[in-house]
Order: sequence, then C-alpha cells, then structure tokens
Amino acid sequence: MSRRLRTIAYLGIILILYLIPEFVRSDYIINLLVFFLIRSLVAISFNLLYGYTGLLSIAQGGFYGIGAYGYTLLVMNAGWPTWPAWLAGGLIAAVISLPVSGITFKLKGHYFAICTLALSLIITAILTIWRGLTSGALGIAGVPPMGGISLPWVGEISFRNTFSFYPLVLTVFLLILLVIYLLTNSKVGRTFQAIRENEELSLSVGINPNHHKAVCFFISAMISGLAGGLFASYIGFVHPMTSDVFIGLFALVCTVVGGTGTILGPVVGMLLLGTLPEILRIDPMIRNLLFGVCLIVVVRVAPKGIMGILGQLRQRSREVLR
Amino acid sequence: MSQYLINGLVLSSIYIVVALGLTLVYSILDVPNFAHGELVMLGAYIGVFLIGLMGVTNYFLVLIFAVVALAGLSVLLWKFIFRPLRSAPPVTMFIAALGLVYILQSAVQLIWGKEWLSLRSPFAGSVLLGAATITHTRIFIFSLGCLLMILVSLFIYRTWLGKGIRAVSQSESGAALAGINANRMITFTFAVSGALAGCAGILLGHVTFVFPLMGFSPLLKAFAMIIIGGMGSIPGAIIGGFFIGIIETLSIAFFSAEYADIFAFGALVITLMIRPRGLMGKLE
Repeated sequence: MSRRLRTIAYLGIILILYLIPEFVRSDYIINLLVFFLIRSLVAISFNLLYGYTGLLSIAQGGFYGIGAYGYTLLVMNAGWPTWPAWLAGGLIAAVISLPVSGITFKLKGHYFAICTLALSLIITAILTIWRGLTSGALGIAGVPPMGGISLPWVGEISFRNTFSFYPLVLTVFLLILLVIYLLTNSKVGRTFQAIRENEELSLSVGINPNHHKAVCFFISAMISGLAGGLFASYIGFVHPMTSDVFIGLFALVCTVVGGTGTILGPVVGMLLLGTLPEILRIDPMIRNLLFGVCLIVVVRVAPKGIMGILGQLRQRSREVLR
Repeated sequence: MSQYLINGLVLSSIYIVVALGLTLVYSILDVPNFAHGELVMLGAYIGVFLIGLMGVTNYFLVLIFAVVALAGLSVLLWKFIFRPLRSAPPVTMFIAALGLVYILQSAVQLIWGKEWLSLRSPFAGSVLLGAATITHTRIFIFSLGCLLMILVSLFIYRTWLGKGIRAVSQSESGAALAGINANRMITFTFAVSGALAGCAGILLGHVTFVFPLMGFSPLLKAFAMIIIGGMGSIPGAIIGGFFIGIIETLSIAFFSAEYADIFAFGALVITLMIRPRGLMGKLE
C-alpha cells in the first residue's frame, strides 16, 4: 500500500470512529466504548514500560487512581477549573512516578514487578487511610464532569452525558496514541528498546539507562493518571478501589495477549478481552478462565501476541503474492 | 495486646508455611510462582469439600489428602506449564503463573461458587493465658506450622534429596556434572511446595473464610516475607515471616488494620531499596 493510500485509510478509520455514535444510538454500547478507550490508555501506558523498555510494572493501577483522585480533589476541594485539574492530576501521577523509579532503578525482572506490585498496594492503602483528604473507603461521590468548551463554528460543547463524552475521550485516546507512535519511532524510543534488549550494552554505548527508565516511567504514569482523571469525570465517583492492583494486572493481560511492544497491541487486547466479553455478555467467571488460557497460550505459542500473529500472516501472504 | 500478638503469631505461622513453598520454588527456578496462593486456596477448598460435603470425619485423612493432591497438581503445573517455558525470558513464567491465577480462581468459582464458606477444625475448646484466650485450633495451627518449618529445614539441610535440591539451585550444570538429575530435583521441589500449600490452605481455612480470592493476600504477604528474608532462603523466610507478622500485629494494635498493608509492603520496598537480596539471600 502506498503511503498516501495508507494515510487516507487511517483518516477514514478515524472518521468512522468519530461517527460511531451517529449510527449506534445505544447508550450501552457507547458507554462500553468509553470504558474501552479509558482502559486502553492504561494498557498503552503499561506497554510503553514493558513492551518498549522491558519494565514489568504492575503499578499502573496506582497511577490511574492517583490521577482520578487528583482530578477529583483539585476540582472539589481546591476549586480548580476541570481542565487544568485533569492535566494536573496526570502530572501528579507522573511526579509520584519519580521516587518510584528511584526506588526500583536497581531491581531487575520480577523483583521490579513485585516492588511495583507492593507500591500499587501501598497507594491503595494510603487512599483508604487518608480519610481527611480522600474520605477513605466511602469514596467521593458527585465528581463534576469536564467543563464544556466552546469551539468556533461548532459552538458550545458539554461533556455531561455518554454521547458527548465519547468524542472527548476518543480525541484524547488518538492524541496519546499519536504521541506513543512518534515517541517510539524517535531516538528516545529506540533508546528505550536498546535498554529492553540489553541494559549493560546500552550503558556501554553511552546511554544512561536509569535516566531513560525514569523518563519512560514519567510519561507512562502521566498517561495512566490522565486516564484516571477521565474516568473520575465520566463516572462521577472515586473510591480507593479505583486504584486497585487488578487494573494494572488487567492492563498486563491485555497487552501481553494483544502484543507487547506494538502500538496497537494493548488496544487490540483490550478490545478482545475487556470489551468483547461485555458485548457478548459472557459470564465473568468464564471470561476470567479464558483470560488465563489466553495468557498461557500466548506465552507458549505466540510471544508477540495477536499483533505478532497478524504480522506473520501479512508477511506470509506477501510471500505468497510474490 | 497479648491477644493480638497471639493471633498475629498464629496467622504468620500459616503465612510462613506459604512462604516456604514459594521460596523453595524460587530458589531452584528463580521464578516467583504467582500461582502459589491459588494452590493454598485449593487446599482450603479440598478441606471444605471433604469435611463439609463428603462428611469425612478423620481430620488427618483430610489433611493428608489435601497435601497429596496439591503436591500432584503442583508437579503437573511444572511439567505442563512452567517447564516448556524454561528457555523463554524469565518474565514469561511470571506471566504464565498469572494466567494460572485466573484459571484456578475461575475454575473454583465455577465449581463451588463465590460464597464465603467456613472450614471448621475438629479441635474445640480453648485455654486462657492471662488476658488472652487461645483456642485449641490456634494452638494446633501454630504447632503444625512450626513443625513444618523444622521439617522443611531438616529436609533441605540434612537429607540427601535436600542436598540435591540445594545443588541444583546453586548451579544446574554443576549439579548435572555431579550426577544429579536436575529435572527430578525441580519436580520434587514443586511437589514439596504444593504439599506445603495444601497444608497451609487447610490451616488458613480454620482462621479465615474460604472463598475464591482467599489466596491473594497470603501470597502477597509471603512475597513480603521472602523478599525481606532473602529470596530462596529457608531461614530467611522464617525470620522474615515472623518479622512481618509482628509488624502487622503492632500496626493493628497501635493504629488500625488498614495500616497493616502499608507497613508490610513498606518493609518490602525498603528492603529492596537498601538490601535487594534480603537478610539472608544469596549473592547473585
């Protein structure tokens, strides 16, 4: 496919994504799509860490919760306008990632994974205990939605219901996907991959692995935090369980099944494992059983996940066509 | 206070039994078996099934059955799930273990449902010790826990098989040169680890409820214990275990139960920061 054709195809897909609510007038489906996009962002942030830099972080749920609480508290307690509060929530999550990467710098492989798991649990525990700020296990209800914006020609847009929120979350999603694409194809992204492949070797060619790991963690935590802020503004309620460790684990499952280290892998994984079972109304127990089977099958036969299989198929079809 | 301390010690003796199984597999395979908590959960369910539903009255028969069944399952998991992944990057086994967590949890939910069940022990009655009441069940749990700690230590440090396991955990190729069948040693380690999990599951069922997610919390605590004590070290797991148990008890006594997690996992993080190999872990 030529470059121009491919660009047109992408633009067409994006247009279709924006037009989905025009055709699907179901509140239920659009609601599912909103959750799909928000949770995909968490998986994307995990993929940036694990797929590109080789850091198996299970703390993404914690950063997601911090972003959600950051937005909520800045809007409700500090009286900030919603948009700066949302960005600040993401930034708070990113700033908290700095000591986290400082702590986990030296750790390799599963020590790193266990340490981030512990940190995620500590974040949930702090959100539960700090009653004065977070009102503890009761959670905070009545989180205001994102404030409306007025665009030239279009006029005033509010984000108060599912149908108006969908374009907002889709825009954020596409922008972050674009950032990830540009980042991973930049020099920094290639440096991440060098660290993933061989940390000592990358050190020997003058790369500072710790510095780059911290940058990667920072960006990734920010994406998770922004996703958490979107979630809080959409659902209107935050709870310590918003930062549950299973959010991070689920991001891991989706990314591994979809394909680690590929741009769309986490999105495909989330669509197949997070959204499809909801649409098909599969019983959660059977769904979880399938998750487990998928994980084991993927690590056994297709380490690159679904995207890897698709890539192989495309290559094979090309060879056949030749 | 003394009541807290006694209950804390009893609970940590169960967690140490969990941690011993975890640290054994870690010592030989360098993989934290994330599915270990689910083996504990299955042990408890076997107890509920045999005592509650089948009406088996001989308690020790139940205990032995759980131990044997979990040892067998653990070996099967090694043969069919973990062994084929040995040549893959180490994180792969971690992910496969996570897959097992999902499978075992939902399988148990499909069979037994989500209800919280209880597993009554055959030991009724209690003794008074100062201001504290100790049930006979708790005395039994603590004694069995300590007995298992001693037995596992003796097994690893005093028997021929234990020597073989230690040899393989130090260097697989070196052990092979000395005529030790590494594969058999790993299989054996998985069997012991599963047996410990089965026993811990029954004991845990006496002091908490039995439900599909019950394995997660002891698993996390066991991780904290073996990281503080040193991954792969048996005395380390025991020392780390009592350390976490006492920290938790004190935080519950002085603050509230919600603080227990912060202190336990905070201790884990601090250990990894200042001494990643833990108190008694081997140098890499």
